Amino acid sequence: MVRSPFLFTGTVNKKNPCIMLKRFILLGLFAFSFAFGANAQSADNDHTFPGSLFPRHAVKNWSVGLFAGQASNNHIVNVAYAIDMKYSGLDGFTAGLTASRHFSGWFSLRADMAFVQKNYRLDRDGNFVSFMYTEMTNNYVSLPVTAVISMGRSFRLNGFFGGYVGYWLSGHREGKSLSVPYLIVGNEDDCYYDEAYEFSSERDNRFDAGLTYGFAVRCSIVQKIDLSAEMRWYYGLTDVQKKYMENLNPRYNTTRTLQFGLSYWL
Amino acid sequence: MYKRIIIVLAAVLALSSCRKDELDIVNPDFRYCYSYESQFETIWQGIDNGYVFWAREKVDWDSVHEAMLPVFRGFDAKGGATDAELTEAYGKMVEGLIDHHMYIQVKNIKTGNAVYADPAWSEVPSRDYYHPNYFNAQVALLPSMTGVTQYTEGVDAFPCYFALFPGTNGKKIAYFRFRSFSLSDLNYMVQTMQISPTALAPVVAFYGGYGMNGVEGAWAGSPQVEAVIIDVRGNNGGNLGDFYPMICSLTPYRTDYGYSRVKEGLGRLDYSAWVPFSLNSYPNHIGADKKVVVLADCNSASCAELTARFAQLFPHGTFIGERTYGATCPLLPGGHDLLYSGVFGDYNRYGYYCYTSNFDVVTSDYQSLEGIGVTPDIECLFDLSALQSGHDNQLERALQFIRTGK
Repeated sequence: MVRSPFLFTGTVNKKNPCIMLKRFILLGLFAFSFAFGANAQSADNDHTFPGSLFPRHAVKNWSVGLFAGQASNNHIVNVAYAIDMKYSGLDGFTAGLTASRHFSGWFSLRADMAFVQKNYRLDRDGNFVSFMYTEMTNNYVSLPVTAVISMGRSFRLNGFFGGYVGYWLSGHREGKSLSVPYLIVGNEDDCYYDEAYEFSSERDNRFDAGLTYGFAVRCSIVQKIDLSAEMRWYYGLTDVQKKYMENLNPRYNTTRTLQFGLSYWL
Repeated sequence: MYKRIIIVLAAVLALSSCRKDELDIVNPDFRYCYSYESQFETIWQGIDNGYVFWAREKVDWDSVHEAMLPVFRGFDAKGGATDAELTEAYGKMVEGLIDHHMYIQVKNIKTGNAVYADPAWSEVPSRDYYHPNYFNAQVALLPSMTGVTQYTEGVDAFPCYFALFPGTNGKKIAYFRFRSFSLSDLNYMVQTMQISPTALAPVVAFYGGYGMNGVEGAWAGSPQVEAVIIDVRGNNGGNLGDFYPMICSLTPYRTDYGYSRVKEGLGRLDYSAWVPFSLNSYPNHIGADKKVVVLADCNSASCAELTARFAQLFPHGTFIGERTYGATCPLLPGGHDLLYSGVFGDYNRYGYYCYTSNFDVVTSDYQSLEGIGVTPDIECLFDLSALQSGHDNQLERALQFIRTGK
């Protein structure tokens, strides 16, 4: 087991995050090239898009867009005997860019670049320490690639499934902790903190990957422009902690987003 | 089309089961142990999940488990261990841990005796300036020291001593020594008439008001006194609640020690954020015109070390003596159910007990003093030959500093 000999939680390994970020960008480029590479092979094949307020009989076979919405996270951890530690999800924000390659009227491939917040809160139930809490704001960038199946005409219903890779960009935490002065004089003001979260290279796993799936409704509002409303889940398969000790329960994020977008047919 | 959908759904279900299994981690605070192995496993896991210093610890705890488990299994296999063998085994288990509050108490299943292990036992005596605690020999010299007046002493329940020494320009130096921070307990015993109020005469002389009202109406606050000496040599700490009235009444300023944090989960590196460790002065405090000198030595632990550190942080304070014991981080006895860290077990009920810190405390520049101790402003090492010839060289050095400024 690799262990830092003298590590404050605040210590940030300056090297590893850069390497991870480079790998992440390469993966992102790969994901986009996957989507657009398929498009290049059949760029001359226009397809009829059967469902739209403005039916197109010779639509181009790819589209780009942007989206934004709300992210609601569920931080999943088994607290074992620490039964008064209660984790609950917090709402956040998501926004991003999307590109799709449409192979037919019912099937397409889609790649996104999304900023997703995966926030959570930890509360304490114990009598003496019930004032303690932590609210974590976690900022991730995610690159989901999904296969999309569409049906319908004026309003098209999309179902999609795929995978994503992501990177934990930054965090912020705010809360109250037990302080020594609180023990002595009982002043809760000494317990408050509000600060940028400093990563621990030994503990925090900033690489994120998992499954993503959901459904969307789309319609065209003007020629070449679609409006969409989408419910998406990011089902994390990577533990947010590194396996730095044996006696450790894993932690996962499952994040649901409700997002609205516009896409443009090229 | 439907086949494809079914295949996709099957893939989703298969992949969603790729999360790791959860572990069944059992509370180490209360377990019945019927073998040497189960005692060891319980204590090892309690420290694994609840020890507050893992972020700065150099001991490879997994290797400790790997190395020591066969030893305890061996005790079970041969039908028991002697007290010496068990003491040695637990001593090896905790050797090198920096927590100087820590000790482990385990009942030897075969003999029924208690054995102890303490990581500080292998560190503190190895210091070249280490010496045993000569508390009684030192205080015995007090009444006969040059110029001493107003000498009073407490009782065995709370050994404490007060004296006035001559200062400069006809002023006095107020001296107070006590063995532990147990003033609140003593106050309670006085109130319930379990002991006589005269037992706290030195406290009243120095602080007034049984030590809980600052220094109002007492020698420490008197204009006739130019400096105070708080002597915490051989003081092993005690109630953190006593620290505030006793020490923060010696300054008019708010004192910023640094920061503290606690565990926030069962992972070794699950920590809360750092929060400030600052204390306001206590009501009826002394003025900044009085020098405050704290005497401490290698046997000064816990609250006594905080006293030395606070004196260093006072603009008018000085710490004279030796680098202290190194148990600088407080704890909450019985706090395991609240913080899932710190003290766990119950010797009488379950046959094991582990005393360990809850707070990771650092100075304002994020330096930990745990396992190291507080280094004095003016080093003055204990001199046994001086003591044998009737001199307390460290106290004399403190008096010299106050009188000469050097």
